[in-house]
Amino acid sequence: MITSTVAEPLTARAIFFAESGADPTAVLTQSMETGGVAAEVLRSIGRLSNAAQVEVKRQVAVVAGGVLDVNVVDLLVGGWRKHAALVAAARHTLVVPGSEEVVDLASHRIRSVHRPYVSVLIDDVQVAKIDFELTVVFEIKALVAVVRAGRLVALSGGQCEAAATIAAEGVLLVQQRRLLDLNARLPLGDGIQLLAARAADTSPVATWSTP
Amino acid sequence: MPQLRAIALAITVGFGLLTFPGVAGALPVQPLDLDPKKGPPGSTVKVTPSLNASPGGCVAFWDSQEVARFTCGVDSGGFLSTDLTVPATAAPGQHTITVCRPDCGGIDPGWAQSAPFAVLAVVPDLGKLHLPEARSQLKSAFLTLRSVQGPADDPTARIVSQDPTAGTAVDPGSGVNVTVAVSPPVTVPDLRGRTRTEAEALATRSRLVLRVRSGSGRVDGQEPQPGSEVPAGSVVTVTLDARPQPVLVTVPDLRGDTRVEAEALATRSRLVLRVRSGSGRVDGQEPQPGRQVPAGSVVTVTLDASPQPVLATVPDLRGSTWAEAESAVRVVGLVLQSERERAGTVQAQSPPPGTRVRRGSTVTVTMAVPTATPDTTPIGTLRPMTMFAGVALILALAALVTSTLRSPRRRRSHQWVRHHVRVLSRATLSETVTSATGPEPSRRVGLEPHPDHGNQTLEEAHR
Repeated sequence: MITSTVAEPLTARAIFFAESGADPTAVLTQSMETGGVAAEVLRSIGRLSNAAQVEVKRQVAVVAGGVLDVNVVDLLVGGWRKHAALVAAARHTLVVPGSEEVVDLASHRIRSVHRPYVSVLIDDVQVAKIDFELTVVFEIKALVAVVRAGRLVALSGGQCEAAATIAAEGVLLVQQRRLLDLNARLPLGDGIQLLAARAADTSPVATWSTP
Repeated sequence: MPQLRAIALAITVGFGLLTFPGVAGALPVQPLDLDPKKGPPGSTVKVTPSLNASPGGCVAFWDSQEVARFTCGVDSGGFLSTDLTVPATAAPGQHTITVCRPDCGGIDPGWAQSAPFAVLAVVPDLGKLHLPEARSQLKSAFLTLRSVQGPADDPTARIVSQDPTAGTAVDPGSGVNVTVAVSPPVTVPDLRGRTRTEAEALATRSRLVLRVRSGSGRVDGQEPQPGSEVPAGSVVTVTLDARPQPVLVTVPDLRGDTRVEAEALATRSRLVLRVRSGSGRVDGQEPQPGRQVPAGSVVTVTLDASPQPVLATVPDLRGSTWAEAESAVRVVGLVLQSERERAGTVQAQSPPPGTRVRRGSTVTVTMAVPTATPDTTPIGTLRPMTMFAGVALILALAALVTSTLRSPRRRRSHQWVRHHVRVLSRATLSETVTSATGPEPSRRVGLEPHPDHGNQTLEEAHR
């Protein structure tokens, strides 16, 4: 396992490749070749010169690498927005201006699953589809969050272990596990809104239509 | 029956154990051992009858009320005991615990022991009370107000501290010392339009006490009025409107789900799914995930465009002109090719009509050459147009042969790739296109990424 302080920007790509320094495109190209994904793509394309095939495989890997450009902060916040204690603290601190609440998050797990896909087109006609699945699981322990005005403004303590995998067409391409120093490097800025836009409004009026 | 038991118990306790010579004469009489001998309601007392006999059934009484049956007597470890809980409703003061064998209710109980137990008074919480209220509560708890520090004469003064503290067990009749203070006034917040929960939270933050007069919806009236100055701890009475408070549910994140998955998740979340457009996966939803909405609300989603099917059905091209056939195959994503020429109409085709083939596949047709009109030109002479076409055909054939001879060497060369494969890549990677150019038929290979913002789930560990 790799332990380090994460350099910004904190993306899934960083979790996979920052420490090793490996070229994501090269690694993904190799993994797709080994797993038979590349062959399937080329089969769907049909007649193509060898050199062009190499280029197509490389481009598929480039696009796959783009899947990894998801911001880890967004993933964590997406999970924390479902944390009952954090949401309650956000609401309370909105109701009482100037108040602040410290929330002991204890142990929790945030799982973020992404299912992007790439359409393969020949002369603008789709001939195949490559399904990717990126999964990032954060195991977080003993983290303390400070909430002010509905926003997450500070973190302290805590341990965070991130495990990430990326697969294409059900074939595991790369997996990595890494410790993240959240409270030191998570860019909270002026705070991260913990409630959805309308929920953050202290006005409690709900206007959704009912059947 | 209870009266009978009480009478027998009184006789037993009143006349002492010597009334029963059969027991008293055989066993040494000792008082019932209690540990502790006093305690507050709800506390536990260890009761040990000193009965020098083989273990057998005993009955325990709190005053005249049976409270337990247990085994008493003596064994190798000594006298057997049991734990009794002081009744929560026991009034502070002296009470009696009696143990009889076999039954205190009989004419001849055989054997009995009893001992007094003092129930202690529990000091109530007097915080924020005015002095008259505190006196009343202390009286109910069999206690007295011993001393008051602070502005005792000010009717708005409230208790800010007490000694002993709330919950302490003391002898009945003990005194409690309190300190009172006059709190600065607080401003009544505007509670109108808020739910009961919100109003309660806001009132508490403002050091006020909320009292709901009627209704179950949102606050539509309050007393005192917003902005009023009142002592801290004052009661704010609100009336709620008649509208029932809806049950709120959290909108789940449906993005990335198929229609079936989204419907299942919405139903589980007590919501109704409505699909606005599309047929693929959810790429937008309203309300947004995480919102609190009334149960039964509609969540409208938009699905992305359904991926085009990989297979296409070969159309029936027979009888079509080249242009018609080309248009027909292009619509379904196929490519038209002729074995010889493109004039006339389609005579035959391969694959046959109705065949399912992969998109991008080639449909080869055989065109019928139109019937030639009688040529009046003398043999040995060529019309200018025919001559021109022939020359053009020869040149084209020559170019094709040259290209074919050179192509293997070119394909082995990476230089060929640079010159003949054009890669267009936008900065955002929203579209990547590889285009093969050159003398071979051009085929554009495109990669179109469809990102997914993902779905985050949270699992909280049980503490």
